[in-house]
Amino acid sequence: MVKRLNIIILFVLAATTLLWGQKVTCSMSKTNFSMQEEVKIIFTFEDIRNAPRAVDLKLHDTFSIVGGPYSSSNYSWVNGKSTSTNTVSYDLIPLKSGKIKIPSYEFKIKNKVYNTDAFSVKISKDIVSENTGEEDMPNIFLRTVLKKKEYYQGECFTLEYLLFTAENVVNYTTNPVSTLEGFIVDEFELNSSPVTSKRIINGKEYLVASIASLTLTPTEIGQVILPVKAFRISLKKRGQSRTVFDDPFFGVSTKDVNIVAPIDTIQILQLPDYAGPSFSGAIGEFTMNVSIDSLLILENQATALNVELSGHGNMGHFTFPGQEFGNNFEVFEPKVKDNYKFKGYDYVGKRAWEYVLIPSRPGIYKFDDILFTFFSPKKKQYVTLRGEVPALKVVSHNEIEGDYDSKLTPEEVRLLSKDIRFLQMQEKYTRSIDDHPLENKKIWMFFYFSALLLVAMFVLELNTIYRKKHMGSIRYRNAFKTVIAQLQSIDDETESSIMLDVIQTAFMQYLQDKKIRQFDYPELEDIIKTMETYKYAPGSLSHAQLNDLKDQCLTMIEKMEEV
Amino acid sequence: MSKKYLLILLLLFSLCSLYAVNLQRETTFKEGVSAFAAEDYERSINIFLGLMNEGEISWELYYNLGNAYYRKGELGNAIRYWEKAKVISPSQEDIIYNLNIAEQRLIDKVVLPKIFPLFKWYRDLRARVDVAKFIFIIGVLLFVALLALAFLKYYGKNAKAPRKLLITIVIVSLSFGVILTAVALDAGSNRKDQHHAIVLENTVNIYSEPDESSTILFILHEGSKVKVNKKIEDIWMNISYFDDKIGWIKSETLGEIEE
Repeated sequence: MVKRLNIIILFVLAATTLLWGQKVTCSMSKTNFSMQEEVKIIFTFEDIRNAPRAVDLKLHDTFSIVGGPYSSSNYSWVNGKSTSTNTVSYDLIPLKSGKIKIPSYEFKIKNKVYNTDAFSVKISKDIVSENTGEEDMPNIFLRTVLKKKEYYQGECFTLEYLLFTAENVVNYTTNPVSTLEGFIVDEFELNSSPVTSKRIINGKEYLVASIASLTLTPTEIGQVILPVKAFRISLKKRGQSRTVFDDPFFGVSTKDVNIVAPIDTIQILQLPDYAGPSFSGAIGEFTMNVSIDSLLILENQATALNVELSGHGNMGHFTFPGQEFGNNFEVFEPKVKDNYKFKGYDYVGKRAWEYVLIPSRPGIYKFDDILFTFFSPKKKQYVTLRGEVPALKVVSHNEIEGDYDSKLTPEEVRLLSKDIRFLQMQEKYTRSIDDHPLENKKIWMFFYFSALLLVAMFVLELNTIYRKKHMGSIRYRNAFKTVIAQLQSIDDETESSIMLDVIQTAFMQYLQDKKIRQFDYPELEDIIKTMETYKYAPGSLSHAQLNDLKDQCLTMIEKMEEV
Repeated sequence: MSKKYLLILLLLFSLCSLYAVNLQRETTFKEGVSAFAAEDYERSINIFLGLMNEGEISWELYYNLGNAYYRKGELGNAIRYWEKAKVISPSQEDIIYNLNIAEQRLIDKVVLPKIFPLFKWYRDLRARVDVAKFIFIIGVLLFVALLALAFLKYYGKNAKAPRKLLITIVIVSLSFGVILTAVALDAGSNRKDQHHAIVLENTVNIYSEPDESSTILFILHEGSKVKVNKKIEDIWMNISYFDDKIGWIKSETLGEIEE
């Protein structure tokens, strides 16, 4: 039991020691340098097996990668314990000045995650004269620059030759490249008047010039070693005051040196599985435009279907997929129009195919969509472009005579290439085939309501007019009802002054409505006098007095009504 | 008591029958759509024609018939049924769109003289006017205006009454009502007594007289729309093509739009 425990403890200790030594660091050959200097970024993997051979630097905005990835391994035994160090490095040239942050890089190796520390570097605009003395750099050397290290079979790429010189270069020559095994040589260009720039490497100032470029299209897959290319460089002898890249025929004594560009290795990848019949070898990024010269033509008259591809890629290394136009057309081999040129690292421009179509019969012809598939190295997949071919209307000679017009408006042209809209899935409202839509009573509904409203308003208006016209007689008829209602509205709770007011108003109104004069009834005078007397002291009146007055009024009204 | 129950049962039975008929129609309509989707256009046409012969119609039915004929390659019948659908629902976008597409496939194409854009706009608007809908809207506007007027008259003197709002409602409703009435009247009178037909055959001759031995005045092709002026015993039709060309055509070569 104790023995087993000891073994476990030993194992844990050994594992901890092993893990303790594992780390990844990121460093730069310099932390303070100028825009013209080339620096090295180094990733060190200590005691890590299966360390990566390349790193995604994510520094495209701040640095240009001019070399790498370079990898090296180092094993050592110290006191019976083995240590290993793997490094991956890149040569970089800064693109902008200032304080640049090198981010933390994360590496996931065998389910373990290692992070490097982020750090900053200072890049100055001027040349920093710093001599590290680490390495004795040659006065003149060549480097090759490739955009990436992996290309697809059939994908165009360019190898650039950079000359680094601390000497006065007068001229350079090399043998042209016309054939290369495993490649199609698209172009080899010796740049006779290159643009130069200054760069400091390990404290030594160099003039850098792109002196040649080689554009290739790989035809075979696998790891390929790019050919060694030798250049003969004519250098001005020391002591003569001439500038770099001077006219060599100006009587300057020179010495020639042969310089060989370093060996470079690239990986040529196989394209993914079969993409379909519309793929004919195009690799790059493209857009397609399809058009017909004339959408309305006479029979046996020619028109041209134009298919234009724009973009960048291996222009010139693919054909256009075959198109079917049916038996009613005589179709000639497409005429290819190229308008592209080499720009940067790729061919950029347009490639167009013109199909001449001659219809033999009138009719309206709708062609299949034109499909074109290319492989996109950026997306690492096939992309199929679909171009809709506008419908072509062919008319006979007889039909086009007279009033018939062959011109189509842009809207008509647009419609010719469109299809009808789809079916309605259900009926929302049905009606009898014999019914007229205007016979539907629902649509007239609000007219009926309006008529009813108008009738109502008319009746009300008539009533008002009638009442105005017969106001006297109406009041005469209603006088009794009105006065009784008013007198009944008062009770013992009503204030005496209000009570008096109501009695007086109601009674006087009754007399007025009935057109009764004071002298028609002698009893009236007494009642009116009583009312006048009460008016002077309404607050001192008792409810008994007022009820008495009310009764007198009612008795009088009854009497008058009887008459 | 038993009579009452019998009456209720009869009513329920009638309602169920009506529902069953509607359900049957809906199912058949969907069968027509399915046949179309399966590219069996002949069957789709037969199903839709069967529904039409039952006596009930809708713009959707005519529209689908038009689509099925179009797919079958019968441009004349396609245009005829889309035009029929347009008679029922003149403002339906789908019908107008399909008719525009079909128009581009016509062989006979007459370019009309250009007219002032405002007139063109009005003519297009008039063509899309659904008179029944317009009548309904005019009715609503009239009712609203009268209601506002009534409020104004009987409650306008009230201090709290929104007099300005009521006056605005009356003016706006009446103004719109008048404009819509004018447009609807114009559209209605324009369509009244109009009788159109579509050429159903590939090529037809238009004669100077209702006689095949008379002079051929001009030729029309499938899908062309003509105005029918008069008929002779359903054998011959006197037609106008864009008003300026008049002649006689055999009735069997035409498909009438308005029934």
